[in-house]
Amino acid sequence: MERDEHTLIRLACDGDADAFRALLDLHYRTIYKMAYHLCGHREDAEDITQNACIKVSHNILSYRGEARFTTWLYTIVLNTFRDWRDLKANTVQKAELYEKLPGNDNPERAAQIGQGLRKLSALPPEERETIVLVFAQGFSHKEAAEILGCAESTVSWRVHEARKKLGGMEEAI
Amino acid sequence: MTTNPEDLEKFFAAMDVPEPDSERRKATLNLSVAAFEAQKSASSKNKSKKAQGLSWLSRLTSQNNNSERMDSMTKNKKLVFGGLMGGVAAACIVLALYPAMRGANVDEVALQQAGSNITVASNEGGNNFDKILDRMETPSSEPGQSAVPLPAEPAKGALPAPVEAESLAMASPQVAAPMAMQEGKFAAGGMASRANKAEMPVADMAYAPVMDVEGRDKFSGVEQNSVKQVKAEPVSTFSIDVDTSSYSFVRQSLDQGILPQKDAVRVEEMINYFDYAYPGPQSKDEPFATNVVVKDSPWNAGKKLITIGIKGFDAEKTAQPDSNLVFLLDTSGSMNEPKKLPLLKQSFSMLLDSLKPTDKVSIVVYAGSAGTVLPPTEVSKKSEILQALSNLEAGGSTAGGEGIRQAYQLAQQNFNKDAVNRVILATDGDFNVGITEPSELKGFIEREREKGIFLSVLGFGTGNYNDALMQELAQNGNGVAAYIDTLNEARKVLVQEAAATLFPIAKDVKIQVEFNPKTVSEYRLVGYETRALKTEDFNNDKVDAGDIGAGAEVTAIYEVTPVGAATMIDQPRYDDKPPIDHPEHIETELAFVKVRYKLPSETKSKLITTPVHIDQQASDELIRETNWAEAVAGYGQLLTGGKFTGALTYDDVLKQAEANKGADPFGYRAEFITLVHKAKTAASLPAQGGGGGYEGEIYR
Repeated sequence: MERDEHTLIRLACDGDADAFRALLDLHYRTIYKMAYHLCGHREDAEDITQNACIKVSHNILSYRGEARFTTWLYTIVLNTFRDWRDLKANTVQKAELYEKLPGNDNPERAAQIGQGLRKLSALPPEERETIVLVFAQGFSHKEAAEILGCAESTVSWRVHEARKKLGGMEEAI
Repeated sequence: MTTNPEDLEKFFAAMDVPEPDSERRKATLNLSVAAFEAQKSASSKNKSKKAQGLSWLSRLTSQNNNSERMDSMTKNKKLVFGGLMGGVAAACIVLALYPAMRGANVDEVALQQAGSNITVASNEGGNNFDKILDRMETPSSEPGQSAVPLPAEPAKGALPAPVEAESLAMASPQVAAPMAMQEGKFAAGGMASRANKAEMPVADMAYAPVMDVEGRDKFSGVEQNSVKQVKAEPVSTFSIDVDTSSYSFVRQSLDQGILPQKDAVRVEEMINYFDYAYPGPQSKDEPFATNVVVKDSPWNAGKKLITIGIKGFDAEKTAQPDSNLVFLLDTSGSMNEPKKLPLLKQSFSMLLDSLKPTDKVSIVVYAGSAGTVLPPTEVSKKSEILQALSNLEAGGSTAGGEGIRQAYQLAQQNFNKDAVNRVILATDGDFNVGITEPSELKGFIEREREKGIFLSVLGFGTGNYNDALMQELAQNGNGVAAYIDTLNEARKVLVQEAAATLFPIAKDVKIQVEFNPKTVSEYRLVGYETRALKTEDFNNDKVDAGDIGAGAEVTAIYEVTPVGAATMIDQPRYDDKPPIDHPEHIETELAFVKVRYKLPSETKSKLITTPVHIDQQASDELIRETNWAEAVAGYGQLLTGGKFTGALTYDDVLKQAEANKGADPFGYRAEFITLVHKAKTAASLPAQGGGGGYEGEIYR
């Protein structure tokens, strides 16, 4: 798998469109998931995903392997999300992210998750991004720091702060 | 209490992330690969200067590669949301199928880069990649790399909004409405938001001002073309129309759940909004191919439709003329809405990217602030221009003084007889440009046209929109009137269709159809009401008509009643059988189509003629394309009241549209289908009430 991905990346960087498609396809769901965790809404997440994929199309040829591919990729996703969020913030002052609960058959469960999401959305944006990268996407602090473009210690600090602010999440689990 | 890290992990793991939409996924992948291909051909050119023909995309765009300008443009590459447009625009232009926009002075060559630079003014977001791009090197080119074929599956590619519409149309048409708009905004906002944060008061933040149903939006009422008797009036004459503003306005209105004002619907503009895969002429010597399809009318039993599809020659290597552009921008208080001034700024920065570095632009504003904001400046000094643009603020209501005269003066100052000299007026309907009397204004614009300075008009926003005047001014100024409601539309108008604009292949294009009284008893031209010409105008080269650009298509549909079928008008009782002049034609032909045009630099017109046979042959593809045009025509006519469409319903339109959507690589046709759904819903709503749940949806 890992090796396949490397091959795909290399071929894509060399301009192989089929490989590029396969590569995107491989990451599509993860990109979408990250977008979803960041914005909390399916259609918005799909918008962000689409824009992120386009950005990747424009940049892949210049990807030189300076950064790990996933780090590089998710930096793009994050930036795409930020653009989206800025617009949203600009559109509706203090727009509540996560306003709509994710679809869930169990209303009680949905309410719980909603509560957790609301807590998340009350976090400062940088802390929320950090939380999503670390806990939802499973990046290490180091990787998250690369994606966020900050120091590793900043990531750790943000995680610490966010956890304090989130308080008990038990009821949301 | 502090959250446990494990709890957080569990929380995310337990969260049911809804599955992404699979159609959307396909669309995104197709779109991305198209963008990738475009990027690839741009950068391989950057490196090698050779058009390598790597794929269908780059082969088709090879005309772009022949421009020496390419390099300098590519070097500037900056990436943000704008990046989306680069590839997309290139992909679209490749198809080169869009109806021409005659007015804007942008060029095809830059299309691949179009949009890429847009974010210069606002690129702090998402641009860790600028640096990478700035020192971009091209990977070794790989000739023979097999192309990604134009994806055959729902390959809607290019534009987010239509793509969205497509995927949603399948699920629920209603959802698509706000989403499509949202998407446009998303794209727009990525760029617009930063630049304008400061200037947009919170109170004005609401997007998409509810359409003013009672209509300060002005449209002039035009009587629909009615049925004509061949014996009484055997000849029908009109000018081509490549404007598309009507379609955008209709979409804007329906996106808010409101049926558009009937007068806002110009059926021919809706038809010509779409691209059609008509066969084109083989050589430049004959700038058009005339394709005619005859089939039974879907609207009325016993009648037939004659669909005339004209396809302009796709001029590949036309040298790009220089441009001398003056932007005349409305900065009145009413422009202070997200869909107006900020969108306008974005649109113009986009346009900028399509120009040559040596082209000159200047900016004059009127209403609110007044005067020359930017003296004639070379496009190479892009940052200066963008700075001037971003400094623009809307506000106040003071008359702008001599805005328009100033604009033309600047154009005159830099007048270059070999260049495109054009004033581009952008407004939401405030024509307080210094000359207040419309007729005086028109006269002024006409006189300037004679001097070689043309005018295009771009409309923004709703509520104050003056369609009729816009149309008239643009027509008098040899330009196009376009309505811009989203950044996608700006891209379509100012970037994708720019080729057709900059490479006009003919001007004053007129169509005359003579019907054969022996075989046709009645006819009716669908649309083109505002473009009707007198019979004698056809051969009069002094009479102005529409222009057509490279690769553009124009479609006209006649509904005819064959002799013997039930007619709307009673047949004359005392009919004298006319003598037969052409016995060999008289029984087999329905009509004779004449297209008159002038080459761009000539003043004497030329003629192309095509007979229409009763058993006119057409390829399956041509039939499908004309079927599509007819679906759009049916829809347009329903929106205007359905006076001549018998029992036709929106469902019939849907059926016909869905069956003839074709490949639709960029989702425009899918978007249309969504619009039909919306019209169906809107039609069942009370006429008043400003759009219902739209806001709730958009701000979810």
